[in-house]
Amino acid sequence: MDGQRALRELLEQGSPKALQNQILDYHPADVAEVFRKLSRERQFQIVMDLNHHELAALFEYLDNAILRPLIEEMDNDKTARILATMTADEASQMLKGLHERLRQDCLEGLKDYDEKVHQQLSTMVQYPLDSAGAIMKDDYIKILDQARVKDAWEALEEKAQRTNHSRLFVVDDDDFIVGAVRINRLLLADEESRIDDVMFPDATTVHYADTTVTAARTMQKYSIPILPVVNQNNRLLGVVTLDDALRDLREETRSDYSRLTSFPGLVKRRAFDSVPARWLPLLWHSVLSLLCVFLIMQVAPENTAAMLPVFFLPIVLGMAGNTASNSFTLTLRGIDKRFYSHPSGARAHLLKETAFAVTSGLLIGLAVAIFAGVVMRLYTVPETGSLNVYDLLTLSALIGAATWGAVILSALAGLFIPFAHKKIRRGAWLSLPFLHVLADILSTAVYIASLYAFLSWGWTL
Amino acid sequence: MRKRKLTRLSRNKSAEIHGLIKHERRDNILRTRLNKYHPYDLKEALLMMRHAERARLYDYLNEKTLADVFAHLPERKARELLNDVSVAYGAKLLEIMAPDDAVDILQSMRHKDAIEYMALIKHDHRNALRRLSSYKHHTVGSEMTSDFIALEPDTTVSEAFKALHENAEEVEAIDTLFIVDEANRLEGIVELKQLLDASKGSVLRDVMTDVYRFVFTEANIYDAVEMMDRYNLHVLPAINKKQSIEGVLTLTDAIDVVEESALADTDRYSGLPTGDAVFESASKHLKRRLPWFFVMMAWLFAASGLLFLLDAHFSDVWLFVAFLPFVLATSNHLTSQSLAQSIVKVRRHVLRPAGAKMRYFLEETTVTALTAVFLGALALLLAWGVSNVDPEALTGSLSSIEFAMIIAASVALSGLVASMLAAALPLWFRRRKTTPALFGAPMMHSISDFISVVIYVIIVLTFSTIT
Repeated sequence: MDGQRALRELLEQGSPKALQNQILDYHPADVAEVFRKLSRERQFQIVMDLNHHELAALFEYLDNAILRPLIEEMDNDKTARILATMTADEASQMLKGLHERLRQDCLEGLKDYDEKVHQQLSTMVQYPLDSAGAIMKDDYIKILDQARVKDAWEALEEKAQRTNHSRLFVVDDDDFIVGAVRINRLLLADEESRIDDVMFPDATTVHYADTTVTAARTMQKYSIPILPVVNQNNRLLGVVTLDDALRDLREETRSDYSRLTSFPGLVKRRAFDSVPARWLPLLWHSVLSLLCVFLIMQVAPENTAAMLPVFFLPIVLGMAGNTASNSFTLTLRGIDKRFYSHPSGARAHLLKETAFAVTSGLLIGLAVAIFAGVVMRLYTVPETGSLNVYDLLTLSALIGAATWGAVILSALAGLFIPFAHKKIRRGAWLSLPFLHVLADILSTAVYIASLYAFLSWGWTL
Repeated sequence: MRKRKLTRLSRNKSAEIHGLIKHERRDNILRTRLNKYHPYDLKEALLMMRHAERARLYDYLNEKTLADVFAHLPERKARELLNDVSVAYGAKLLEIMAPDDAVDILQSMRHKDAIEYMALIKHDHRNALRRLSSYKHHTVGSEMTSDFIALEPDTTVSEAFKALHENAEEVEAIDTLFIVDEANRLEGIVELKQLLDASKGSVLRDVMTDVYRFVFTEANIYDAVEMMDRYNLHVLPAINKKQSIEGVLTLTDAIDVVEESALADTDRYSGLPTGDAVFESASKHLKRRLPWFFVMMAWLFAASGLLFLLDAHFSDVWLFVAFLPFVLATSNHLTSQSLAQSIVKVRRHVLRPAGAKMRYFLEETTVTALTAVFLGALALLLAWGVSNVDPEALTGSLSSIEFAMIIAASVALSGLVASMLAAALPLWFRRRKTTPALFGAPMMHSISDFISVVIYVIIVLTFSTIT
C-alpha cells in the first residue's frame, strides 16, 4: 500500500528528474492504473518527461481512449521511436485505435525511422480487429527441416533474447511450416540427429484471419504456450502467445456470461456501477414483451367459460421459457467448445435437442392437461355452472396440445439463436433474457391464438 | 502437394482417429500412428467411441500417451472410463500423469474406489498426491503444477543444463528454473534464455533474477490468475507459510482456471448438471431433467391456481390478462440479473470476509430497489399508453391511470421481492452441496413467476376492495 501511495505522489507532482529516476521501480501495469486517473495536462507532462523506452512499456497497458489525445499532441518522431520499441502486436493494436489520418501520420513517421518495422506494422494494421493476424508477433525461433539438433541449439543461443523458447518451429526452404519441436524433445535428442526426425510432424496452427478467441481456445485445448499463425498455404507469418490468449479468453468468458444474463457479470467490483448496464436491456425487453399484451388483447372472449385457458398461461410461458433456456445453454456451450465445428456434429445435436423438446413438451403438455382438467372440474363458472364432461375433456386436451406446441417452438428458438451469435458480431443483445421474451411471444401466439382460433371456429362453450 | 495435404489433414483429427480404429487392421501401423496424435485429439476421439473400440485404442497407446489422454478428459468422464482398464493399470496411469490431474480424478471418485487406487500407487507419488489433495478447491494449491525444476544457487550453468536433460521427460514446463536455498526457500528464478546467454562456467547465483511476485498456496486462485494477467507473468511461484516453494502456477494452469470457472458459472446459472450434459443422449438427459421440470411446474401450478381468484376481474377487464405476461417477464428479468451477480460473487469467493455477504446483499438490494422503481415508472407509462390505444379495453369504473398504477405497482414490487430472493439464495445455500438445478435460473424463474402472481393477485384484489 505504501508503494502505491509513493507511486501516486510521484506521478501527481514528481519533478521530471524524479520521474525519470524512479519510474522504473514500478511495474508498468501499476503505473498505468494511476496514470489513467491523472488530468489530461499532467498526463501530457509525464509523456514529455519520459523517454521512449519507458513510454513503450507504459503504453502497452493503456486503453486507446487515453492514448489517442496523447499521440495527437506528441511529435511524430517520438511516436515513431515508441512504436519501434513496442512489441509488434501491441504497436499494431495501438495504431488500430487511432483515426485513419493520425494512423497514416504515425506510419509515415515510422518509415523514416525504421523501414522494417514500418513494413511489418503496415501489413498488420490491415488484418481485421480481433484476428490472430492483428495480435501476432515475431517472437519465435524457426529452423530448417534438414538442420541437425546442434544447429537448433546454436539458433537458440543466438536468439537468446527472444522470450519464448518452449518450442521451435520447423520450416522448409520456402518458409512453409512442416512441424514443431518442443524444447524437452531437443534436450533428450542426440546432437547429430536431424530435426525432421525429432519434430512433431503436424504443427497445430491458426489462420491469420481466425479470431483471437479461436487461437486462445486452440492453445488451451492442446496446452501449448505458443501457436504459429499461417496463411492459407501454411506459410509461417508469426506467432500468438498464451499471455495474450489469457486476456482474450477472460474477455470472452465475460461476454459469454453476458449472453446468458444480458449484462456483463463481474466487471465491476461494486454493484452500483453496473446500473446503466442493467437498465438498458431491461428497458428493451420490457418494451418488447408488450407484443404479448397486444396479442392477448386481440382475442378477448365473450364469457367466463371461454376464458378458462388463460388461467394456465403462466405454466405454459414458464415451462416454454425453461425448455428454451435449457437448449440455449447447451448449444452455446457446445459451440464454444467447438463440438459442432463439423456439420455432422451440429446435425446430431440439433436432432437430439429437437427430440428432447418434443418428448419433454409432450410430458409437460400432458401434465398441464391433467392439471387443467382437475382444476376446471372443481371450478364453477359464474354464469353457467360447471362444464359438462365432454367440454371439459376437449378443452383440457386442447390446452395440453397447445402447451406442447408452445414448448417445442420455444425450444427450437433457443436452439438456433446461439448459432446466430457466431454469425453476428457483438451479438450480446441476443441474450438469454431476450430468448425468454421471444419464447413468451411465441408461446402466447401459439397458445392463445391457436386456442381461440379453434374455439371461435367450430365450438362454443 | 505435401503442404496442401497437411492443411486438409489438420481438420477433424478425432474423426480420423476413430476411422483408424474402425478400419485399420495392421498392428504396427496402428501403434506408430496412434501414438503420434495429440492427446487432445485422442481424447475427442475416445469420447465418440464404443466400449470395444475404446479397448482397442487402449491396447495400442503407450502408457504415457494414454495417461495424457485421461488427463485431458473431464474428471467425471475420466473416472468413468478408468473402469475400462484394470485397477492396476489405472493406478499406473494415475501415477504417470501430472499429479494435479490425478488428484482431480481421484477426488471425483467415491472414497472407497480412490483408496483402492491409492494403495497401488508408489509411495513417493502417493505422498505428493495426498499433499495436493489437501488444498481447498478454490486455492492456488489445488490448481498449481507440482512438477518443476529447483536448483541451488551454487549450481553452475553446465550443471543446470544437465539437470534439464535429466528432467526433460518428466517435467513439462522447463522454461523457468527456480533457485532455492537448503530450506527450499525461493531465492530467484533463471529463465532458459538467461541460461542460454550465460557462460557455461558461471554459477546460477550470478545469473538469476529476483522474484518480485509470488503467491501463497492458500491464496484465492482467481486473484492469482488476475495477477498473472495484469503483470503479464508466465509463471507464478506458489510458496507455503514457511516461504518454501510448493509449486508453480503456469499460464496453462491459469487459462484452464478461466475456462473451467466460466463453465461452472454458466452451469450454475443455467441450472444444468455440471459436466458433460452436451454428450448425454436425449433420453438420459430427459430422465435427469424431468424431476426438476416437475418441481418447477409445481410452482407454476400454484400460480395458475391463484389466478382463479381474479376470474371476475378478468372477465370485466381483459387487460388484466393481457398484461400478465408483461408483469411476469419483467420481474423475471430483474431476478435473473441478481442471480447472475450472486453466482459469480460466490464462485469467486470474494465474499469470504466477515460481513461481506451482508454488505453485498444490502448493496444489491438497493440497486434492485432503484431498478424496480425505474421499471415501475416504465410500466406505468406503457400500461397507460396501451389502455389508451383501445378505449374499449377498459370497461366499468377503472380509469386508465388507475389501471396503469396497478400494473406499475405489481411490476416493481414483484421484481423487488423475487430478485432479493434470487440474490440471497446462492449466498446462503452454497455450503450444502446443492445441485445447480435447485437454484439455477430456470428454478428461480418459476419461483419468481409464483411470487409475481401472488403479488399481482393481492394488488388487484386490494385495489378493487378500496374503490
